[in-house]
Amino acid sequence: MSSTVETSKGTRVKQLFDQQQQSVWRWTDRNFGFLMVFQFLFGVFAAFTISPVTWRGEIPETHIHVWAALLLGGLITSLPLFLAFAYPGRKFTRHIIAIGQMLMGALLIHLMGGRIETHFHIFGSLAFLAFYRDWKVLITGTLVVAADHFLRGIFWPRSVFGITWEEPFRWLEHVAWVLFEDLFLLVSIHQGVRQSWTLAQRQNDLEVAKSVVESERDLFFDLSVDMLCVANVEGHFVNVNPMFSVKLGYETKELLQQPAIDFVHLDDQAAAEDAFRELQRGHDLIDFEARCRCRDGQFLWLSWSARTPSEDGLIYAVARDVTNRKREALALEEAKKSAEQSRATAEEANRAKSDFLANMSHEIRTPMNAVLGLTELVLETDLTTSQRDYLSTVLESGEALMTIINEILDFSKIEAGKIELEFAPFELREVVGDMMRSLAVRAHRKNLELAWHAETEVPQYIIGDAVRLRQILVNLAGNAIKFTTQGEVILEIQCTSNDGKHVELGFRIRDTGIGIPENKLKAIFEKFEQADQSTTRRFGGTGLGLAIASRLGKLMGGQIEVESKLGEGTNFFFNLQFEIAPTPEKSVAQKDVRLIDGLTALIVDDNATNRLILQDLTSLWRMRPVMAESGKQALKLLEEKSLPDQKPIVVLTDVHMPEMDGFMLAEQIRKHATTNEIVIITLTSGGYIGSAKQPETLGISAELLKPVKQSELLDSILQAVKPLAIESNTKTSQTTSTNSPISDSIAAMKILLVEDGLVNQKLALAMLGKWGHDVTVAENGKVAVELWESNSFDLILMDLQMPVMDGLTATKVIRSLERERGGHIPIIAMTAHALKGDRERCIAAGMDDYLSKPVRKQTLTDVIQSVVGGITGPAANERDQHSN
Amino acid sequence: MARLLPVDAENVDTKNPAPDDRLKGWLLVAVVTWFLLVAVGLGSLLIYANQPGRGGEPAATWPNATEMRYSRSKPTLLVFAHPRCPCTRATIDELAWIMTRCGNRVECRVHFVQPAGQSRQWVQSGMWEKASSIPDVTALADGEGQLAELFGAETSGHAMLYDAFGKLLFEGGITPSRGHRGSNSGRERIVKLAIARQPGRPLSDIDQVDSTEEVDAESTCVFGCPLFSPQQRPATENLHAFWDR
Repeated sequence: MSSTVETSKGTRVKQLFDQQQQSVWRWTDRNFGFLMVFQFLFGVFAAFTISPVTWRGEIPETHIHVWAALLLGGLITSLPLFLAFAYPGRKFTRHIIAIGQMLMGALLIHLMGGRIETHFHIFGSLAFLAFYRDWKVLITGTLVVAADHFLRGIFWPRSVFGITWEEPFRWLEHVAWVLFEDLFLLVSIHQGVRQSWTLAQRQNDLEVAKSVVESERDLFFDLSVDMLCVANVEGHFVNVNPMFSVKLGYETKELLQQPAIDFVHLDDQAAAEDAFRELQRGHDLIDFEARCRCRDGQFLWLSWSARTPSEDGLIYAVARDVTNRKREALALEEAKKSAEQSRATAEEANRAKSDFLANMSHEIRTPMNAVLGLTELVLETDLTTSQRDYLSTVLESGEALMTIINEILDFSKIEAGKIELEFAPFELREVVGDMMRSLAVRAHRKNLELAWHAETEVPQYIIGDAVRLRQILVNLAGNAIKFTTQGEVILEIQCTSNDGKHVELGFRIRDTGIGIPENKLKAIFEKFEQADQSTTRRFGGTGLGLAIASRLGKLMGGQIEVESKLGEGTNFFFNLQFEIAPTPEKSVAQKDVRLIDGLTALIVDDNATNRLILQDLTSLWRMRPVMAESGKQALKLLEEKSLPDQKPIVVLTDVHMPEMDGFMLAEQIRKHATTNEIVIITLTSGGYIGSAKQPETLGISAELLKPVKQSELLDSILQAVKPLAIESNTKTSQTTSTNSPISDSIAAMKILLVEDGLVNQKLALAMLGKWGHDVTVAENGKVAVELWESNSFDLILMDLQMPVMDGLTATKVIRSLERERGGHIPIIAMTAHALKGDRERCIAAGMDDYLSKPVRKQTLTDVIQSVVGGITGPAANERDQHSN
Repeated sequence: MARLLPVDAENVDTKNPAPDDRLKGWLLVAVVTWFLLVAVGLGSLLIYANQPGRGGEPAATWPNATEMRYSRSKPTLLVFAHPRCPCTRATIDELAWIMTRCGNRVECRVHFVQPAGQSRQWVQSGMWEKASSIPDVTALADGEGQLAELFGAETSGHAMLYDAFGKLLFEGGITPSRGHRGSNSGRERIVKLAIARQPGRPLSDIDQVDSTEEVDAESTCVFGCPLFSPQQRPATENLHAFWDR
């Protein structure tokens, strides 16, 4: 096998060598042909130039050289020339050429008069004959020269040697010089032949390698799952691989017979022709997509890539079937459209739901406004015990109903993702204190200890959404109060990390309530879920509170977790991150805390948590806290005179204590005069406020409602220790009384009430009239504008939804007119809408503030006070002057 | 590529096919005929080239009938030439070869025959210019060929060497054949005689120098065109045919 291959290889090398030789012979034959024609013409030219005529005296005759050049030169040239072009490459051709060339040399030498230079023609001719790479040709040429010289030497020695006598071996000298050249030419021929063999060998190697590469390429061409083709610049397929037939269903012949464009979808033909033109302009084609017709009439989407035409005018292209991708893309597009439609439908449904909620809110709040407001008013009149009891129940039920409605609305907003957090600086302890205060009544009603404690490391001011934080804490703490029958509910705030710019706070609400079964710990954060159905019946509620708190916690970046033991209590805890806000320059706590630096604070409370909280607070202000678990222990400490002399002692005592309550302690302290000035501040739950003995008679400086706010307690201490130093109109009242008139700080004003509902008109008139305001009613916005133009008012309370002209439009008209005339009347919106955006719309329309119905006395008072302040309105003064 | 392209680009077998017998025969005839014709042609050309002109009867001593005098101090070389004869170009070239070797040791004159009726310009051809350009060579016109006739020259290129006493030393052509340059006995003889025949040098020197030369060393064939047309041929015609030599 190996020898067969070697033989085959040797044969091919020989074949290649022969081809090369043949090529050389043909080339040399042709060039000799041209050379001989040239030599013939040159001979004729030389004859006509050098010896055109011969003379007999003064008679010229045509020189024999002319005839020789024409006839003999033509004869010598004719046969080699004929053979060079009729039988190039043949052995006899090159030998005849060799003979002819050497004879032509002899003729030319003769025609040129035997000039020595012409003899070089012989050597040049031999060199040229060496081009054949055939030593035999060289020998032929040499033999002709030798024969010529030999014969001349014998018969016409003078023509060769210039002498008339014979020199037998001189012709050999001439031939020897020719052979001298032949020697080098033969070496050259040998080298040329050897190089030809090497070249043939290498070409054979290349052919073998090329054959391997081509066979591999052909294999891939056949196996390719893509469609490969070669086309010409006229747009016809020249060759296609089998995949073309597989994909399109045509025979290869059919594909080659028609122009490629005929297979393209009619709609894509223009684009395909453009792409083909671009290809011809020298731009490669990349991922051009067009539909191609199959034999069965179906169309395939093909993605084409092609190279610009090669030098031989062929275009190599590859096409890939992308029909499935196209279909998927189409399906995806349709799915997107469908999803878009679904989203639009969902948004429409959501908008409908929001509208529904807004309408529901409006429709429920409007009558509830009247129910709660009027009930509050009736409760302030003289009633029998049973009547008061019934109406109180009505008021509580109404408030419970409002709580439920608010929770549902809040949850809906959270679920709809419409809750947007607001980031603003706030004082954490104030917010928490206010929040805890709002829960105090409920806690105290159940005789629960409600307390809160923030570590000293907790920053005073942070940036966050105070409203939503308060909502979380209210829900969790309220929930704890609801499910705790005895014991305490404590809120603790810790600082878990602080990098100077951000702080992570840990909130923990623990109670001593009924606890939650372990298998329900996760479920309680689901909406409408409570530990069990009986719980709902027993404690009431929608089950939305914890769900809302949980979602708000997540929204703020936290996770509310719970630990509980049945019968022992529950801990809710979560961490939130806040940005630390700079402390405002005017901070009471920062400014005046030096006044109480070093004073003794005698803390009397039977509850250890409360003692701990007060201890922390007083320590924070650099006071010296001394603890007493009871009144008796406190008295004992005072009597032992273990406290520093000559300095005021601040007694912070709980009112509700066993054996000796706070008032009894105060009474005992006052009876036993000491050298120290003693300041007594009581901390009490609501039920004890306004007890039988007046604080003034017991020398009680302040009576604070638990859980006490930090600022409130500090202000009270400062006010008691150095009364003159405290501003008279401090925010904290010296004594807190629930019976003091809410609207005492608001002077009588002339108010324009714009309200279309008769019930609401009646309620507002009752509230505002009772507080001494002069109220004018307008049933819609248009009437309100007219009345505002013709009268002078201090304030406008504006409903939003009204016939003829709504509240927003009326406000815009008034503000527009004010811009022309000057002045600014405060306008407060009153609306039963409670959805997000209402407040913004009101403010944008030019209103000063916003009230959500049902309007409660306290809220109304607060808003009016914040908008117009406590001064008597000029319009009211004007009225009073008129009445006087 | 072979598979991708439909065009059959297989290599053509260029192996030289053996000619058939008919072709072989035809070629053989053609080659033989061609060779014979060429041989005849070349042979004829050689015959022509080696055919000498008339030798004439050169004067053995310097003729007294002419006013032109020979040199008394060195040999005098006379060359009679047809101003338009192409074969004489070879004679002028050989004369240059001779003068290169002899220099001023010989007085050389080339007489271009000016037939009656021909202008001076006809005589002063390129050959005249060429002869004039050879150092120590004087080109002269020979009106109506009187000098040529006087000295017995009938063929262009006929050279005659006289010694300082007016005695003819050599006469004949100085080219190997008609119109051909190259080594020839005429030029060699003149050089040797001119050098040897310097005044004061014994005649025996010549024999010593050229002891191998044969009789015809004193005379060689003249290859060139006739100086005179048959009508102009001198009355003292003494023609010698080539075969008479």
